[in-house]
Amino acid sequence: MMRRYGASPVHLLAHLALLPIVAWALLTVLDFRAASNVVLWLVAAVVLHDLVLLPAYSALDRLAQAATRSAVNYVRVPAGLSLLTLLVFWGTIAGKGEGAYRRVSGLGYEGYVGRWLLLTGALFAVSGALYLIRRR
Amino acid sequence: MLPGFFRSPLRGPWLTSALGTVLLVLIAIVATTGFLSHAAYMPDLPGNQIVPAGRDLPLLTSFGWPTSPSWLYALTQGLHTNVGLVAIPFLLAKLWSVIPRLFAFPPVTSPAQAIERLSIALLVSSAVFELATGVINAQYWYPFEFNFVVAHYYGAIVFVASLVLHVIVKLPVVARAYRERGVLTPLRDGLAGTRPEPDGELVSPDPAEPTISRRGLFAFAGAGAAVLLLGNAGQSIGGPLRKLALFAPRREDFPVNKTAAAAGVTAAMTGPGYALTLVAGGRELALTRDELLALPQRTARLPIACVEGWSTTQEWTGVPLSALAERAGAPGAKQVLVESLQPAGVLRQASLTRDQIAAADSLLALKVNGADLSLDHGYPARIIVPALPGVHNTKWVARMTFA
Repeated sequence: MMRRYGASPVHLLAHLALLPIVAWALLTVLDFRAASNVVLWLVAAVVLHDLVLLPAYSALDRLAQAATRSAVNYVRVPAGLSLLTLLVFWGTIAGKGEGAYRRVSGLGYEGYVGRWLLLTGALFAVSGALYLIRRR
Repeated sequence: MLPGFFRSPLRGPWLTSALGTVLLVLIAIVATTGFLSHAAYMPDLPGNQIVPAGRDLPLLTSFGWPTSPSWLYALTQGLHTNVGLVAIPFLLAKLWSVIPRLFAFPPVTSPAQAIERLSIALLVSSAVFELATGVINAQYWYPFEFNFVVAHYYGAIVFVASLVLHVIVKLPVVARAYRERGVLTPLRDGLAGTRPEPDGELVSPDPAEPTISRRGLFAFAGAGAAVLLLGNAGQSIGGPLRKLALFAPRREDFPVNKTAAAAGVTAAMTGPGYALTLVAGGRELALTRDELLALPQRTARLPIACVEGWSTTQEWTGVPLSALAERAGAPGAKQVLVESLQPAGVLRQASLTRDQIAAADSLLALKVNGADLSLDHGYPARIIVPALPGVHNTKWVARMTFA
């Protein structure tokens, strides 16, 4: 029977033990509010990562490799760090959360774009300096 | 996808195992502190429940959240949010390392593989969902229709259960990779010495020349983690470091979680007509702010920490809750339901336990840093209890019902 299943009994038992817990949690959250929106977010999480974000940064990386040859890491690393920061702090840098933040705290999001640009400049400056030092 | 499309010479069982090990440690911290936060809200007490009653994990309710050390919740929630950020670049690297599996052909060869692919889909989906919703919620960006607390909580259960499953299934693969290649040995190779792994899944059949070493990849992910941490951690630690939190929302020294205007609390409600109502055993007692100020006062330096991960430590002065319980005719009260002047909202009320009422530094604060509370910080009177989640320190207290 395990030959037909395709893996060990531990594999089967682990799935039979844990998938019902997963199903219970999913059914509970779907039963609470905005079920279709939860499903949309769960599906979009995979699709946007696997079929949009990963191919996009891979394509950018190919471009950087073609443009810089052996010096690719001096572009790849600062660009990667800058874009990671932009992605993770999109809510403050692009001001997406500013409306709600102003409503609860009375304050706005000031200077986030400027600080991100400064961070980006500093990352490339350090990378460029390292490149010059190591090339000599 | 043609075989040979994915050509990175770094991919292989060891790389994915090593990234997975780092990620497992980080996620263990994030998940533990997340479930601790749920327990710290004490969902079993009246008014504290956010996730649907009767549909919670039984182990996590009825948990006596301690009042000491006072910085406990600032620590656990600071870890939850900041280690969550640190996990992001490692999750991205881990997913990058296994992306060829998504396009495996034929997609399913056995029932075992079919069920495993389903569980992996749930794992990836819930991992990205948890990190994305947590991050945007802390930035006050709510582009969703679901209740954040409920979806983040049950999403965490999906994530943790499918992660446990993944670890059980992949443990032999990880053990073999470490046995054959060493736990840290591949990190010794610089770029010139970087070769594809000798065999195993994920190893490219047609590897390209390496452009980065394996240790370079770990350093890259680590640098990403460091930048995100630097951009945020200051709002959790406070003090002079707060200004280093370049991209976090809470960059002021004494943040206001919710202004009186946002809560619907007006100056008329807190003016000369204000009185605090104490209820115990069917008897009511009204105390004006001057009468509260005439009671023995205590001063305590306590942090207040938000579920979003920011915190601030201030010097609070007011009447100990234990003294108020006595005054109300309920010495040693088992619990108290605190209600705000705030007219509406889930968090206009919160209940505290016997231990939280009894703790010496638990106060109905009237002043902060020697001056009267500002309206936005809860004037005329607010709760401050050591190690209590921020929003349960009810502001603009109108009524306290002891039981």
